[in-house]
Amino acid sequence: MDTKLKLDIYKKIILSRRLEERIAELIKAGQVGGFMHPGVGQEALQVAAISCLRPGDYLLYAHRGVAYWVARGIPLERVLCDLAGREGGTNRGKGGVMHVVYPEFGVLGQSGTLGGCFPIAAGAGLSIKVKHEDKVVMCFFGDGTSNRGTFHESLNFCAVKKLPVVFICENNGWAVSMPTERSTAVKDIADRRHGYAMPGKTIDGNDVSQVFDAVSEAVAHARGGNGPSLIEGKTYRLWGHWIGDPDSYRSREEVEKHWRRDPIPIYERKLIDENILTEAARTEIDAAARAQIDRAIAFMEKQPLPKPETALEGLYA
Amino acid sequence: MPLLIQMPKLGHTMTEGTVLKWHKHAGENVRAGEAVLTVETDKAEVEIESPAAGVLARVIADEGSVVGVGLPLAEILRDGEAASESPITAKPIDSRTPAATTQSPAPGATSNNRKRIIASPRAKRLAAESGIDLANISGSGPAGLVTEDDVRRIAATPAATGKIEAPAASHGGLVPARRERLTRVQMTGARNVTESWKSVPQFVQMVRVDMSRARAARQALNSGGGKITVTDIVLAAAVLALKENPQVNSSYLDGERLIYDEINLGVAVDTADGLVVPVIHHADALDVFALSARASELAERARSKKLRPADLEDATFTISNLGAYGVENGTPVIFAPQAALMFVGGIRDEVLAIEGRAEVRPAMQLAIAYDHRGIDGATASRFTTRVKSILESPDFLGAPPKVEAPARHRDVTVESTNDSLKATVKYGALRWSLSADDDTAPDPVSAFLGALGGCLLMSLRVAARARKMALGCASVHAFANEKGHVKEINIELQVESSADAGQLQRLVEVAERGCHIRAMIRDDVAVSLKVTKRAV
Amino acid sequence: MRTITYAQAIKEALEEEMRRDPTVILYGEDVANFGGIFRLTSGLKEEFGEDRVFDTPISENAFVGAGVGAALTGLRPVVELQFADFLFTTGDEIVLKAGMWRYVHGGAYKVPMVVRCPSGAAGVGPEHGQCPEAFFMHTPGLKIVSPSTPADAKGLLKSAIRDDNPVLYFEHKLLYATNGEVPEDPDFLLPLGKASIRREGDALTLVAISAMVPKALKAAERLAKDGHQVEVIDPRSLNPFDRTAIIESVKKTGKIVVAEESYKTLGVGAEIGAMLMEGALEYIDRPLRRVAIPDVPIPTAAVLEQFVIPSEEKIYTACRELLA
Repeated sequence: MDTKLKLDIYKKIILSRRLEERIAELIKAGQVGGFMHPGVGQEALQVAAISCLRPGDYLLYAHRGVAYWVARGIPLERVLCDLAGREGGTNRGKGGVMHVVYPEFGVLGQSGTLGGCFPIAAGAGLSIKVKHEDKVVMCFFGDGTSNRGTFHESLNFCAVKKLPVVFICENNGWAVSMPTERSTAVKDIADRRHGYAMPGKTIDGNDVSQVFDAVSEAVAHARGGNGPSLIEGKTYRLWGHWIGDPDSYRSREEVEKHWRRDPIPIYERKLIDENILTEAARTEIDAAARAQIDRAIAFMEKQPLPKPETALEGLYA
Repeated sequence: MPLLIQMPKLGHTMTEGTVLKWHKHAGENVRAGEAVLTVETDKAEVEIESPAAGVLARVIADEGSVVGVGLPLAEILRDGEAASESPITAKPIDSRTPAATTQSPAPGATSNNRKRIIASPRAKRLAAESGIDLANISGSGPAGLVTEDDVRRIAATPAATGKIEAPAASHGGLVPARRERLTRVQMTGARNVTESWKSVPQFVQMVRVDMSRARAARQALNSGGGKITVTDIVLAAAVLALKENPQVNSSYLDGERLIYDEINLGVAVDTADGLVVPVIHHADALDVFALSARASELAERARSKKLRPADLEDATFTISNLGAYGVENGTPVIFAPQAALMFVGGIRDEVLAIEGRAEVRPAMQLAIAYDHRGIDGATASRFTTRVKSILESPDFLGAPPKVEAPARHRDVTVESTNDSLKATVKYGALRWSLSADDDTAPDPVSAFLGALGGCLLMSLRVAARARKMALGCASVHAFANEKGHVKEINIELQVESSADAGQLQRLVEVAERGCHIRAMIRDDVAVSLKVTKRAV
Repeated sequence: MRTITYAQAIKEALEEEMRRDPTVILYGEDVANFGGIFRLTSGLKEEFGEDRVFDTPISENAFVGAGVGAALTGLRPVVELQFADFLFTTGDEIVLKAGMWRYVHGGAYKVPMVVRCPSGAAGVGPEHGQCPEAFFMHTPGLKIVSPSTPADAKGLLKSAIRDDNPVLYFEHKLLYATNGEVPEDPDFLLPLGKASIRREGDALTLVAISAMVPKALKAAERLAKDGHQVEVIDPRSLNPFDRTAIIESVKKTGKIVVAEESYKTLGVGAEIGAMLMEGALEYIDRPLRRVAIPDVPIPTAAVLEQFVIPSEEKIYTACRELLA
């Protein structure tokens, strides 16, 4: 990873965190009608992984936060308009932030039902293979979602057909109120790769370089026509499942313990140690992020609501 | 729920009918379509059929009673039905007193006017469009649902109210030895002529016609085996004269002459019931042979009481030939609202002045009455003299039909040369085969069905031409019972036509009557004819 | 015009469309090497190669969902389910993914996929013999066709493949061996959403779906002998649905019978009844009659299956009751 990339990743992580904080304020203040499943604490995994992709690659993100979109380069204005259900977003009020979509960057969208992503990822992989394209598919999902039947069928299918899909499990220890150890028979979800004879790894999802190394390897493997991989990044969901979740099913100690392992300060210290980041730069980056977000919010607030009749449009091509 | 047979509306102006005769009696089984009674309307006697199979449970209107349109005549019980509990309190109008007629059936005619009408939406719409009160229609659908067919059975064209005046009070102190009630037909005639006499200023023109050329023409025309009468020639002459003088083929109304394109000739026929005037519709499209055929057919049906109300409607000009009775001349009264009526006297030898010489010629007198409001003396004179001139030089009739090939004679030879069940038919130069042995040729019955179907189709086309109706493809599927004597023949006729169903039905009726093969089928062979109209 | 079977017509449609457009692929269980358990697709793998014609594991969720993913990313997959009943197995992928992906993502993508569904009771029991069109008619976003003749099978499949929307294509198993004239023109297409008037008449409107069409036509012949010319309408397409054709017919006849090989409650007949009440009330002369499966699963034993599946006799009787 070169310096530029490391800094770039850092900036995106900061932008993601600041954006989520602002979105939470907007939602709590009742200023937008939408809802959000925050990804605070998982930004390192998401941004570092997505930084391994090329512009033509396909992305199926999960519902944990905004970092996927920030990492992929989707303008903040679009995301905010989707959140607010206004025109100027990516789906014209039809899907909220659950269905942010950006064909220019291969962002295919999201399945509202957990686990719907796996077959679609397989299909995108199939398409790449049939058309002999130099592309890969990256598919994010949570630990709970990996228990769906579609996980099993799709990973098997991708392995048998050697489809270029990188499956990335964000194991944050919780599926809403269900802790992973109570729902999942294996401790390390990446161990399931053995059931499909595909390569994979369990890594520290909050360590940018570990994520980058593991994911680059998997992406290269796929791009080389060698088929899918299953990467598991251990991480933690620092906020509740949704903005407004009382989060009463987790102990304060546990949550605070994980705040001390927030990936942002860890990464900052590392970059400062490597002389890639200075305090001044840090402050500047932070301010720039906030300003960018302010501008985006101002834009969003000026956008009109979609006309009610447009509810009947856009069903058939 | 039991089904009612109700007095149907059979003509434009009908408001009531008289029950003449019941053919079935209470307790008897009836088939769907079977004639149950005969009613007499203003213009004719008509048979009423049962709409469904079942038992004639109750006769509601007795013979002789006068019943308004839509009111019940009888009750039919179908399988599984119970008789209606409340008596049907239809009070027939007193047969002695001519009633003031009204548009809709009298209230209180069915037992329960306040009952909710269960009718299909289609029936309701049709009833509303036709101006029919649903309350008095008996429903034949499930659970007594009034259906479209039920409404159609009563369907009306807009009615006109008619008022019958009370008969004259008395004739002073004279007491009649007996009273003869006029028949309905005669009553109508009386009413009409009174109306005509009172409201139409009429004048009559007379002319004497030398019929020698007409007689010769008649002989020439009949040389091919025809049976044209002199009257037929007079009809043809009248038609031509009317074409040339359209103002006479008209009606006067409120300051306007209503001139008609079609010439519908009424031809008066004397019957046991009185004078009846069946109508040759669209006589303008018929040649003298067709006129003759139609006139004699109508006359025959008039005498055997088989006229339909449609046969008596819409005349634009009437001809009355009392010459057969030996009457030489007369002063006819026009048949309002027609503008003229022609009386034809008998032909008798008279001495006429022909180019200065006295010669004995067969002479016939015509007397034509005209409605003076719309027709002045000059117009009338042109018409009157034209009829005479046509009859005195009847070249308009055209040449008699050429006897072309022996093919025009109804004359065949059939040979069977060996012991097989095969035969060859020879007709002039044409040959065709019949076979009861194998499939190389049709068997005689199938060939007959083919002739029947073909004849019907041709008759249909002729009738359509006469009425200037366009028809597309037409086809007939004719089938009889499989074995033994032919006991029933089913005919399914499919016609492409843009006419409405009623017009097409009338056309088919005319075609059926005109079909020679059909006319040869005995009455005890059940013939059914179903017509399907297809869109063009 | 030559006569071929319904199955041959489907195969021709697949061949022609795959030759014409390299993005059309075909897959499902046993379709490639074996040529399909109904033998419709034999030879296709040999012609188009294993990239485009391949066999899948028993993973309906995965391979139907993959059809959606492939359609989003530039292919036109024809996914063959072994039995139409498996649509329920892969319900999320059909209803929520294929049917709704375009809409919820604001129209950014389209889903040009076809799911071929062999349908119809054929002695193979309740879970291998349904005709579930009505279930999927109810949800938005899925086009549905159910051809009843070889020509329609070909023309509609070609149109379905060229359609940019997800199409459920119901091919009735008992129709595979039926014969009919089929045009040879490789651009012979039939539009979705247009019904076929199989027989004209004015006595009653008889709407029949898929394998009910031949039964309805036979019933109509019997009714013709009774003197009633019945109009038989084959909708061919359940979404889009040619409501106009049915309404215009009922305006003529006033009477409607619907024959469908699906459960009676909330079947296609229910939708027809509702739309007639909405759009043609004043033309209706009799109550609607539906000839359908009496709300039980389709039993396997022949005598039981015959009892529940609408027959020509049941269709005839339903019509006669309205025509009395």
